[in-house]
Amino acid sequence: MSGHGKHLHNANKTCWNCPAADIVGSIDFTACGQSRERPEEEHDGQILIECRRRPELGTFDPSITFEQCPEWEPTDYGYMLKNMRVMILGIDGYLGWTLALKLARLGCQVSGIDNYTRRDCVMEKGAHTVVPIARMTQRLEAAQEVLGLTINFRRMDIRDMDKLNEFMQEVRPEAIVHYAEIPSAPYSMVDAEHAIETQNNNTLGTLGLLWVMKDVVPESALIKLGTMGEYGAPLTGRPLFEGMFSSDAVLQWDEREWSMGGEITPRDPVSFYHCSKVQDTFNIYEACKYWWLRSYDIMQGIIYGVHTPEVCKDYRLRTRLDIDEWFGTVINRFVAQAVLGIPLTIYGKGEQIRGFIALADAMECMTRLLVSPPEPGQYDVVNQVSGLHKIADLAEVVAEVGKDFGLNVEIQRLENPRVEAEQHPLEVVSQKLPNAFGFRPKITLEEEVTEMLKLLTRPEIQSRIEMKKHTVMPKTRWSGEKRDSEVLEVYEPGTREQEGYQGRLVTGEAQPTMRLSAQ
Amino acid sequence: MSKRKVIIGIDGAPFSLMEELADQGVIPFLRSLARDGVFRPMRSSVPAVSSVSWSSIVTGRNPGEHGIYGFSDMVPGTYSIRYPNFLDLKRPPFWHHETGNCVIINVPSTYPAQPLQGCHISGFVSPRLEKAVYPSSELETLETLGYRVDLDVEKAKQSELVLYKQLYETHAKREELADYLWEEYHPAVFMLVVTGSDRIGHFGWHHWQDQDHPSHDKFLEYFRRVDQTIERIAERLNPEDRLLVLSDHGMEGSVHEVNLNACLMDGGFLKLDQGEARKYNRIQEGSAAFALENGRVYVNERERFPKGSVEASQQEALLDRLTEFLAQLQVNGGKAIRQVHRREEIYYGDNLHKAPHLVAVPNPSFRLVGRLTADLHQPSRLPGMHNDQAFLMVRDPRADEIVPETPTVEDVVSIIRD
Repeated sequence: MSGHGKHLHNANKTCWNCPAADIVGSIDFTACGQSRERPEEEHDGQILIECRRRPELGTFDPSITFEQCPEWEPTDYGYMLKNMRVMILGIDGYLGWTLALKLARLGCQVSGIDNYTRRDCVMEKGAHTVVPIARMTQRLEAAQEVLGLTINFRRMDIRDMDKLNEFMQEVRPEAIVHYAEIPSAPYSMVDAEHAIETQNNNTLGTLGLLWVMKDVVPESALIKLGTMGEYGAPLTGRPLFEGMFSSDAVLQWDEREWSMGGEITPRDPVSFYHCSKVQDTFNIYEACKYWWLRSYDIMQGIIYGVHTPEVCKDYRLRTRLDIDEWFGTVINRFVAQAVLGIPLTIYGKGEQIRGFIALADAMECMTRLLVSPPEPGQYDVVNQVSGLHKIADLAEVVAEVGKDFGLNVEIQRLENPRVEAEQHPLEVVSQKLPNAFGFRPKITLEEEVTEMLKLLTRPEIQSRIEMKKHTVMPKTRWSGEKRDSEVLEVYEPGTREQEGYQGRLVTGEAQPTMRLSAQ
Repeated sequence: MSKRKVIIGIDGAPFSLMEELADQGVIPFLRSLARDGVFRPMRSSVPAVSSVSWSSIVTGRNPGEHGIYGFSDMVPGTYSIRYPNFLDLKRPPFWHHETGNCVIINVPSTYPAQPLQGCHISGFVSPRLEKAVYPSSELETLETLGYRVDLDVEKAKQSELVLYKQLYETHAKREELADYLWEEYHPAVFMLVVTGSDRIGHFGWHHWQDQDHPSHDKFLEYFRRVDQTIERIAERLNPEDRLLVLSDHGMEGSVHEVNLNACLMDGGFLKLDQGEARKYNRIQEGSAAFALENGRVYVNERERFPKGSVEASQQEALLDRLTEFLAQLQVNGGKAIRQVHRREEIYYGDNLHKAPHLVAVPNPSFRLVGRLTADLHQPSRLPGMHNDQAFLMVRDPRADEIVPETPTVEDVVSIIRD
C-alpha cells in the first residue's frame, strides 16, 4: 500500500457510518431519559451505540473518526474496516467474481451467493462466455491455491428468503454488494416470460433482500447495482443528476416554489429490465426511510473489459465475457466483432451517447464505496462512469486499436432494434465518486480495448468466439418481433464527419444552484 | 434475624416538594416517617445530576474517587462522547461489603448489572435489558412481567397522556418486581430507586406548581402511588430494621437554557468547524475549552485531546480567564451562573485528573447545556431542572445519632453502615 501519509477521503467518517456500531437507543440529558427511538432533536438527544468490535468502550456517541479508530486501517482506497465481512450477491457473475477476488485480496472476509442464473440465461440463449470460466468449486479452489484466499460460497436463489436469512445470520455481513440481478435489456424484451422473469428475479429478489436485512443485519451497507439506463437519455439534455436532487434544488411553478432537495430525480427507463432497476430504486429508498437501512445505489455506466490484477493470475480465476446480443455489452461486442471480421454493429444513427466504465475502474469504485459506508437511514446514489462516448465513436476506437492487431475493421449501421433516441444530448453529473470517495479513473478506453484484443485474439478464445458467431447479430426487437435488422450502411472507419451532440461529464466539485422552473 | 437495611430512592425529588406533599396529605406514609424519624435536606453532588450523585450515594465517595462526573465523558484520545457505566465506577458500591442477600433495583448508573449475592437490576441508562439483570436467570421473569427500566422519553415527549400512562405503568411493574424479588431473596439489604419522580419533574414541574393545571392531580397521584409502594415495603420491616428514603438531587422550575459552548465561542475560547464533522469533532485547533452538559468545562489540553492546543504551563491563566468570563455571563439581564468551581475545590482523590477543569453551577431558573450551536440561550425546553436540594429520611432507633445535621450524598453509606 502507498500514499497513506496524505489525508484519506474517509478519515473524518465516524462510527455513525460504521457497521460495527450497534445502535441501542438514545438518551436525553435534559430530561434524564432514555429511549429506543431516535431523538427528535439531535441537539437534545444523543444516540447510544455499542461497538460490536470494541465492547470495552461501553455505550457511547457514534463520533469516533475512522482515523482515530484502530479497527479502521489506511489503505489505497481510504480507511478500511479490518477483515470487513462483505457478502456479494451474484458472486459468480462478471462483476461479482471479479470484486470477490479484489476484496478478499484486500483482507475482506468475502462470502457470496449465486444460483448460476447468468450461466443458465446465457446457455438458454445458446450463447457462452468467450473467455472460459471455471465451475464455482474450481474457482474457489483456485482462489485458495493461487491467491491464498478463502471465499465462503453458498448456492442459493436470492428469492429464497429462508436460506438467505440463515446465511446472513451465519455471516453477519458488514456490507452487502448486490449484483444478483438479470442484467440485460434485450433479454427482458424477448417475450412476456423473459420480461416477467427479469422483473421477478430483480425486483422481488431485492424486495425480499430488504426485509431480510431489516431483520438480520440492518447495520449492513447495501451497495446495490443500478444502471445509468434508469435515467434514460432525455431529449431535452437536462443533466442526469446523481439520483437525488441536491438540497438547494427548487421547483418553480405558478409563481410559487418548492424545495426538491432529497427527492428522487426523474427516471426514464428504456426496457423492462431498466424498469426493474427503477422499481428497486424506490423500494430501497423507502426501506432506508422506514427501517434505517443504508444504501448506495450505483448508477453504473456500461461496463467493458476483462482485466483486473486478480482475474489475470490464473485461467481458472478469469471472469466471464459475453458477446452475444443479450448479455454482451457494446464495447465487449465490438471487440469480438472485430476479431470475427464482422462490421461493428451500431444501431440506427449510432449517435446515442452513453456513460462507460472499465471493469477494473468499476471495481475500484465499488471498493471505495464499501470502505465509506452511508449513515443509518441514508439512501444515496452515485453515477459510476468514467467517460461518455457516442456509440459510433466507440466503433472508431475499436477499429483503430484493431489495426495494431492486423484487423481490418468496418462499421455497419443497423436498423435499430430498440426504441430509443438515436440522437440526443447527454450531460451526466458524476461528482460524488471523484470528490467524496477519491476516485480517479486509471484505465483509458484504448488501453482496455488493447488488452481485450490481446486476449480475444488468442486462438483458443478466437475459436470460442467463432462457435457463437450466430448469437452476435441482434434479433430481439423491442416490438416483440424476432428478426434480423436491416443493414442500413456499411462504412470504413475514419470516413464519417463528427456530427450531432457531444456528451458532457460533470465531475467538478462545484454544485450549481438548481432551479427547476415550470413556467 | 439480623438488622435489615432498606434504602428507597426517589430520584429528583427536592426536600421542599416532599415537605409540601406531606403537608397536603398526598404522601401520608412518608409524612409519618418524617415525623417519627429524621427528615432533612441533603446536599447533592456537583453537578447535581443522577449519575454523579447516585455514584456518591452508593460508594460514599467523592467524584474524584469514584470517577463519575456526569452522564457523559470522552473516549480517550478522541472527541467522542461516551456514557460511563457501572464498570467505570472506581470504588465498590456499599452492597459489596454487606453480608446476606442484597436486592438492588433501578439504581441509576449501575449498568451493566454485576455479580453479587442476590439480585441486581440496573437503572437508567440501561439500553439492553439482558445486560441489566443479574443473575441472568431472572431475565425471563422481567420479560414475562413486561418490566422496563424507564419510560421511553422520546414517546413521553409526544403527549402528556403517554407520559403519565408510562409513568404509572413503569412504576406498577417496578413495584411488582420488588415484591417478587423480596419474596424470592429475603434480602438483608434492599435498595429500590423510583426514577419516574425525576421524569415527572422534568416534564411536569408546571403541573405541580400550577394547582389549576389539568394534570395537577395526575402529578399528585404519581407520588401517592410512590408513597403506597414505600409503605408496602416498610410493612415488612421490623422496628429495629433501618429504613432510608432519600433523593439524589432536587428539582425546580427552568426558564432559560444557556448554551455554554455558544458562550465560549462568543468569548473566543472555542472555534467550531462548520463542515460535516460530527459533534465534538468540529472543535478546531486553537480552541482553548469546550463544555459538556451540566456546566462542565474542559480545557482543550494538548496532552489529552486530538486537536488539543493548551499547554500545561498556560492552563492556570486560562482557567482564571474562563472563571471570570463564566461568572459574569448575563442572560436576559440576569446572572446565569451562581458559582464557578475549579475541580480542586470540589473534588479530591486519585481520579481527579479525569474531572472537568471547571464546573459552573447555575442560578435558579437557568439550565446549563452544552450544545454545539451558536445559540447563546433560548427558552427552556422542559419546565423542570435539577438543583442540589435533595432530602433524606431515616427511620432507625438511632437515627438522630447517625445522621449529620447537614448531610450530603457522600454521607449515605456511613448512615447505612453505622
